[in-house]
Amino acid sequence: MRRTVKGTIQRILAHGCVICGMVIVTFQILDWYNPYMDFLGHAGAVLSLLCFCSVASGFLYIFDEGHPGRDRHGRGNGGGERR
Amino acid sequence: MRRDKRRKSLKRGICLLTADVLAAAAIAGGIYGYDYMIPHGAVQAAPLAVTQKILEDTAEASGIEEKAAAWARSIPLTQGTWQRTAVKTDPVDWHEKFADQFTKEVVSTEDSYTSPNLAIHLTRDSFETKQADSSENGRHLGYGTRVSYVLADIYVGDITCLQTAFAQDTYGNGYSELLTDMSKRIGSVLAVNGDSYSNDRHRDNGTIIRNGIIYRAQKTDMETCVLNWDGTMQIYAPDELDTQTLIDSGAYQSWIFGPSLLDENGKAKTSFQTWDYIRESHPRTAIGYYEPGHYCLLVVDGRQAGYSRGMFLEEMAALFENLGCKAAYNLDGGHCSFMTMGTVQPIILTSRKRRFQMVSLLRRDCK
Repeated sequence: MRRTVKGTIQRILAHGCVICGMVIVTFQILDWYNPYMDFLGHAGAVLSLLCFCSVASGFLYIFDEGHPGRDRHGRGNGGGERR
Repeated sequence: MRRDKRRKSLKRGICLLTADVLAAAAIAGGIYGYDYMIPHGAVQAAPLAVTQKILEDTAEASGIEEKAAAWARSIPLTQGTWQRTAVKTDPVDWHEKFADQFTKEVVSTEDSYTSPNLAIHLTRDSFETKQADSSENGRHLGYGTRVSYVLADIYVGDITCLQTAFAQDTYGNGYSELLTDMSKRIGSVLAVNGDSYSNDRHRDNGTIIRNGIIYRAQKTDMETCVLNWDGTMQIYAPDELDTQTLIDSGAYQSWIFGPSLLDENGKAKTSFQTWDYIRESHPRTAIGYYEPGHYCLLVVDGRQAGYSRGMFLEEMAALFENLGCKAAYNLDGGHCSFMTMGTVQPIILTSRKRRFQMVSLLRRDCK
C-alpha cells in the first residue's frame, strides 16, 4: 500500500517536472525572440513548481530503499537490475 | 506476451506524454491569457477626463502661463492616487514664434492640417537601402531592401495640443483599443501608437507620466524619454532617472521603450542601449525633437516584401540627424506601429492582424 502511494507520488512529480519544464522552455524561446514581453518573469510559480517537483522527485529516488538500483542494504548495483 | 506488454506500456507512455504536452500548453496559454490579455490592475486614467476639464477650464485663459495656472488649480499636486508634476512653462509664446506655420482657419488636406494652434505636414518617402536584414538566420531577407515611411512635421501653439491617452481610458494590463477608435473618441488630428508601458509588470519598468500625472515611478534598465511642460525633451539614462527630479523639472509626458537615437550634439548614435531583437530591421514609430513646440513623428512601414522591410536603428538615427533633430527616441514598433490622420482614414498600416494599441500618443487641436 505504502509503495503504491509512493509510486503514485513519484509519477505525479515526474509529470509535474515534464509539464513545468516544457512551459519554462517555451517561455525561454519566446523571450529570445522578444525579451520585452518577459514571459519568464511571468512564470515564477511554474518555475517554483518545477523546482519543487525536481527536488521532491530526486529525494524520493535517492531514499527509495526498494529501488531496483539498490539492494536492501541501500548499496547500489551499478544501475542495472540483478537477474 | 512480453511484446504485447511492452507495446501497451509504450502506448500508455505516449498517451501520458501527450497529456503532459497538452497540460503544458494549457498552463502557458493560461499565463499568457491572464497576464497579457485579460484586463487587470486597472486604474482609471486621469488624462482624458481631467485633461478635458483642464482644456475647458483653460479655454478662456489667453496665454500659456494662464493655462498652466488653470491646470495647476484644476488638480492639486497630489489628488487621490494621482500625483502630478510641477507645471513649468516656456515663457516664449509659440503662437508668435511659429506664426508663419499656423493659419487663422482650419485648413485640412490629405497630407496636412493647419489651424491657429497646430501645423502638421506629412511627408511620405521611400528609398532603396541596398542592404538586406540577414539577422535571425535570414528570417527578414524576404522583405527585401526597400524602406518606406511617413514623417509628420508638427508645430504646436501650446504644449497641451500634444496629449497621450490610454486604451479604454484605463491604466493597467491587457487593455486594448483600436487606434482609430481612440483617435475618434478623443477627436485627435493625428495619432500614433505610443510606448509599451504595460507589457512587463514583473520587472521594474520605469516611470510613466501621462499628461502631467504620474502613474508609476519605478526603476528601469532602459532609457526614458521625457517631454516637459516647457516643450523641451530630455532622454534619461537608467541611472539618471529620479522621480522627484521629474516632478520638479515639470515632466509632462514620459515614454519607456527606446533607445535614444541621437547623442547630445544631435549626431546619430552608433551604439544603442537595447537588445539584439530591437536592433534588427522592424516597422518603427519614433518621436523627434527640434525645439520647444516643434517636433516630428516617424512611422516606418515594414515586413512587407518589396515595399518596406522596416528600419535598422542606425538608419533611423541617420534620418533624424539629417532632419536636424536635437533628440529622437524610438517608441514601440513592430506590429504596433500605426499612424492615423483625422478620425476616419488611417494613412499607414503595418499589420492588419493586430491593430489595437496598449497606449496611444495623440494630438488634439486645443481650442
